[in-house]
Amino acid sequence: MHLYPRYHNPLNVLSGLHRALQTPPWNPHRNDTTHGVRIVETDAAWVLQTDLPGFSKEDVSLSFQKGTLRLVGERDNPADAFPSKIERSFQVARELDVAHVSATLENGLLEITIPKPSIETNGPIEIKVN
Amino acid sequence: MSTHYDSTNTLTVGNREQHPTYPRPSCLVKTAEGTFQLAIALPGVSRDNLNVSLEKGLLTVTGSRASGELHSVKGLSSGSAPEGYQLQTRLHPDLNPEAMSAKLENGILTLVLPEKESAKKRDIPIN
Repeated sequence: MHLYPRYHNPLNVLSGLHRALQTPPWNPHRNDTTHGVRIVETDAAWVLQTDLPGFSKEDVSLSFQKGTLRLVGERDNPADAFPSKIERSFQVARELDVAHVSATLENGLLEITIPKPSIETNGPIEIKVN
Repeated sequence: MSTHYDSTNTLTVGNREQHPTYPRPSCLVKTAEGTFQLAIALPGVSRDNLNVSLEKGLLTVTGSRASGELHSVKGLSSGSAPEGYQLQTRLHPDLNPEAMSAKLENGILTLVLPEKESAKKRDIPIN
């Protein structure tokens, strides 16, 4: 039996995301690489990556409210015909450190960094029995 | 001519000498006022990792994405990003490659090729 908190498992922490990942933001029939959100991780954080070619920092806004991370982007009068709108919402576990979520948009790649909660996982934890 | 356009205005390339692992990027073409514009989506590719070359009428665009120390969380991600992109296409003989200009902005590479003077419409006077 496991009594680990849910957030020990990244798959649980980001469980709301899993559903979001099933639906591509743009036309699913277009055979290109500008769809979808990928989740990658470092030792310290989970990183959501999404390709937004043509979008600049000013075109994109990110907000967090009631456990939902919301990404809205729109670029005006693009010179090319690549998608000009994106709107995605992700549910994230409330245990996550949302105050320290950061994001970068560089070369058309948006990266949202969610720090992993720092939990002591080394060695067994003694629990006092009263 | 190995380059033609389908109904969705997507560039279709006849050349098959692709990079073994790099997929072809999505690209869109536009023709206007005697110029040919090719917009190529290269998200995650920086200027330093991008190479555009032209040899004997064959245009090659190769860009690699730097993934750094990031690795995928298995079972969650809807596929991983490609390591890079490569597009190879033959230029139409009516285009002037000498006057080609390239611009990379927000992950979109735009190549602008003017038509050759000899390809432009001219009226032939009748004596």
